[in-house]
Amino acid sequence: MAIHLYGLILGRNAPRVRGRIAGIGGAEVTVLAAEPLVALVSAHAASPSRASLDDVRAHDDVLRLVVDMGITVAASRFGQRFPDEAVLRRHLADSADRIAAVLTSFDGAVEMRLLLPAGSDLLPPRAAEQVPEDAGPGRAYLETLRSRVAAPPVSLRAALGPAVLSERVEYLAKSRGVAFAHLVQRENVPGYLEAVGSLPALSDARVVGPLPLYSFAEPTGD
Amino acid sequence: MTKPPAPRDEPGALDEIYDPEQLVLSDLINRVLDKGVVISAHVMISLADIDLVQLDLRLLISSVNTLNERGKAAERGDPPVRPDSRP
Repeated sequence: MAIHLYGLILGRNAPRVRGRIAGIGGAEVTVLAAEPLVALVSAHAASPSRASLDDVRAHDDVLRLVVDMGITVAASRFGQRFPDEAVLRRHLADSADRIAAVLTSFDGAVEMRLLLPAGSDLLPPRAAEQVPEDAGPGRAYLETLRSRVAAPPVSLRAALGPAVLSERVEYLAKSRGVAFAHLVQRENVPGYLEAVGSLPALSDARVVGPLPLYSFAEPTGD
Repeated sequence: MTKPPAPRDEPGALDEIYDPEQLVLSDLINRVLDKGVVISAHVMISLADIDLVQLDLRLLISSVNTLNERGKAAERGDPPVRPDSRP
């Protein structure tokens, strides 16, 4: 028996979670009350030692479905599985106040991610990463960490206007580009998309969202 | 043995880098594996042979990598790294 944790919502929003949600491997996603939070979880016969890309997609799909129900969700980092509900509740008890404070502060907000491919005029030139094409995921991850340390500051917040409440900038692995994580109130998403579309410099950008809070799930300090 | 990067004029070399779907997939993996709330770092599973606990403990994975490099250097007979040498 293993309990997979997808994300957390405020207890008061739990009644808005409706219908059957299929999670990893088709397992039904259920809500687990742990006041003041509710955890989105699914039960599995055993905790696998490995996960697949399909599992990663399923984790994200579940959270996006809940976001589409109008609920603000703090995403759980993929890979957290617990032997039973009691252990999960015990771990949650240690973090509940911190997570509830974030969810209360950002209630009604979603995360929008704007992806700029490498080579965009908006991005300052950077030294090429020396990552072999067949580098394993561990090496690629380390190069990503190095890129973040060496990354020159770049921001779109001023260009996109007041719809962006907060911003995080992350360089993607293998120099594929840059991801801008933007915290946006749900009702301001159309205005955000309009602002993105009005900037010619962002013509090659991809926007992904609305998403659960990934980059803003922990206290931001903003 | 490490395969050299594909030459720029080789078909597919730039396509792979600028493929929007690759960009979206790269971001998906980045955010799902590296973002979000962590309530326990002791119950992680692995993805593609990487223990996510190690991914979270960045110093550890760096140390493992460094140890591997030094092990290969020792096999090649390279001189040991001096304390005052720089990376």
